[in-house]
Amino acid sequence: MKAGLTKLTRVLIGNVLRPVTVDYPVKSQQVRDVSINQEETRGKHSFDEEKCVGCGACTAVCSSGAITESDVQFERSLKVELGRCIFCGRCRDICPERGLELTPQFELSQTGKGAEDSTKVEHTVQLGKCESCGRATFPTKQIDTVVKRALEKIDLANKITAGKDMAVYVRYCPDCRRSQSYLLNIHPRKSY
Amino acid sequence: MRLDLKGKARSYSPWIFHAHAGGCNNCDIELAACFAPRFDLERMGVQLRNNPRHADIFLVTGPAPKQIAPILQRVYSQVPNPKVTVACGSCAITGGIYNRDDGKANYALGGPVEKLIPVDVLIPGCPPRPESIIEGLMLAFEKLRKKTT
Repeated sequence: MKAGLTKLTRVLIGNVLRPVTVDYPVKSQQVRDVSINQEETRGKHSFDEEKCVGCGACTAVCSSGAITESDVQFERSLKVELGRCIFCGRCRDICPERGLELTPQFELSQTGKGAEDSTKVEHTVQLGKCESCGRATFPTKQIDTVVKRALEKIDLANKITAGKDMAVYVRYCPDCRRSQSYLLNIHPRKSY
Repeated sequence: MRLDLKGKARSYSPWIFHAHAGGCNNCDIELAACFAPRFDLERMGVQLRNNPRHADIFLVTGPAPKQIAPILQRVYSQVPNPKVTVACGSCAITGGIYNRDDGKANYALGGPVEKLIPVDVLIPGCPPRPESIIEGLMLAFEKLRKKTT
């Protein structure tokens, strides 16, 4: 009771002593320091060049379809359309490599359609090449991480065989893998 | 340069008409917060009007469903020239979660607003923070200043 009263008095006196209004466009730094919680604010996206493997989990989970991926030859580009994004942060939460972060930058207004580039965040990753048919397969970084993680979980008895097989079949696209699994000797049932 | 006193006065105290085009009311709450004491847009000479005929800035929120679309166009034509249109929120800019590129758009979607009326300033966010709305409106004031003089 007493604590509440003292708090109320402090707020009442504070209202009289200083202006409540924040002089936003003039003192924007003050707003950023005082009224915005830097860690909680969800603003413009930023991809981490080193951490992002280009798996596309963010595109799958995006509820408004703001993040899109497109493969052109041997490059996959992830694009965030800020005009469509609802800043829910699901892409950041789902990212297995923590390669996508939402910066606290919220000043994203722009005039007209001319400044279209400023409403987009782009990131490109390199895709691997199939040794058999020459098509683009998966992002090279993703292959490395997946192989590494899979081998950690396999028991010791099969680890060497699986490691050898993986080293072979990550070089091929899924179709070639399926059609040539006998030739390449990578069929999973051979170890049973 | 022509001395246009009326135009100058208008560009320094722009009045806003807020058109609610079928949104979820979240942008509207943030707009109300802009006019509340903390951010107090009226210190910039801005006033929120209920009549499009008094307004200089036409602020649209919401994805503009098919039922609202003709009314939105009619209200837009009632705003006197020169006017600046502001699309506030993701719905107004692109359709937001109601619109998809893969043909799975909402059946009732008549917008986005850009399809119906010309838009000058875009404010992304769902909803945009009051600060972002103020920042977008500052861009709109500049645009209005260019249009009047």
